[in-house]
Amino acid sequence: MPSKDLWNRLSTEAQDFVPPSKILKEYADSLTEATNGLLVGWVDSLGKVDMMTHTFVVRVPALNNYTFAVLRIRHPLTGYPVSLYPELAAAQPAFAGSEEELRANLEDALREPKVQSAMSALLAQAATIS
Amino acid sequence: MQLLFWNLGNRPLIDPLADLVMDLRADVVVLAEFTESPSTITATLSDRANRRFFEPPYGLRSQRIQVFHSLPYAAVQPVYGGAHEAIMRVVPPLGREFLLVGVHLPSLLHRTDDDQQAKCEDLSELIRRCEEDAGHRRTVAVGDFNVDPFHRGIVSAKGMHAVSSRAVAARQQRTVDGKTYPFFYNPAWSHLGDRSPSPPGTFFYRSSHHVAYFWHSFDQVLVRPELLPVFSDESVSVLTKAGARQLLDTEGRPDGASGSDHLPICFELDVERTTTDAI
Repeated sequence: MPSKDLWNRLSTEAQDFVPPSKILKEYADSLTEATNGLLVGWVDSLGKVDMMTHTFVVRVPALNNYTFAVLRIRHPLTGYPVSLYPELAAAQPAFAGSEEELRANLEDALREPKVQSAMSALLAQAATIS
Repeated sequence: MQLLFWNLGNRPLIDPLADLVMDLRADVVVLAEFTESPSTITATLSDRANRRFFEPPYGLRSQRIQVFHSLPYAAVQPVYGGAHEAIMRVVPPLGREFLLVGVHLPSLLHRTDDDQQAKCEDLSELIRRCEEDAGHRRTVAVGDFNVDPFHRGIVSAKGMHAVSSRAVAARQQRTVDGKTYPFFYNPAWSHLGDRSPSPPGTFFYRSSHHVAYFWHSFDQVLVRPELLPVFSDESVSVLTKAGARQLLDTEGRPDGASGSDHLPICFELDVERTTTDAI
């Protein structure tokens, strides 16, 4: 018969841990909010064996839901380290060993001129049609 | 951008096609030998994929090959529609425009090798003319060429000039007898035979002649060197399932009963990366 407190410790630990996907979703949601929904950010997640991959995707409803991937992050089931792979900018991957480093890497990647100009271009097109 | 080509073999495959388009999140779908009307196809794809699919404006429509897409309506414009080819100008919301050539060449059953070579040469010349008009060579050609990658129509300089090596294609062009011919890169070479994880080709034909290849890679994608920075060989797949439907029979060959006699192929073009300093 399993102990009654067998899983209690797990749930306690999970509360202190912010999954990388949740952090990425914060950034995706911030794009949606900042553009009043003209650009919609969302996170597409895929788990394979012992690695998780989350892609920051942007959807443009005014452009027939045109979508493209901005960047991907990959990490083991334990959460860290996280590898960040830019999709738009031809930059080297970045690595984060903590939540703090991941947030810093995401800020850097999303502030890349190519990412910003791509978002601006899509926003301008979407605003013209909306 | 995800692109899909399928020769449907004049079979009613609209439902497995829609499943495939949904699973792949295909943005551009090039079809040959389809039985449903274009409007039925766009309606079915739109419904299943939960985004609107369009056929390009009516003008310059090819007889044997059709391009459908879920990009913004004006993003795909017809440039040329002939008996065996449809050339489109694709202007994506992000990234530089490129030319998409949908191809469905005549079958060798009714033609000789010399006929096919001549057809490939005509097609190649047409593509070069369209590229001159467009002012660039960011071109990808996909479809049923009805000849293998090693056919002289595909390989020869006056033909498609499509080579098996990215490094060779990256040299852009070659001069033969004083005339310059641009290359295409042909990833289909890497999918020949049993070492590829996919079937040894896209079409199976048991011939009674002395020379019989059995497996053929008639369905190919050819990429100009200008697009190689945004094209990955790993993205090219010969597909064996469409949704839940298996496209191979028990012997691992295209199952004409449940699918087409041709297997579909898909590939990606990361055109969002085609900025002025990338290409």
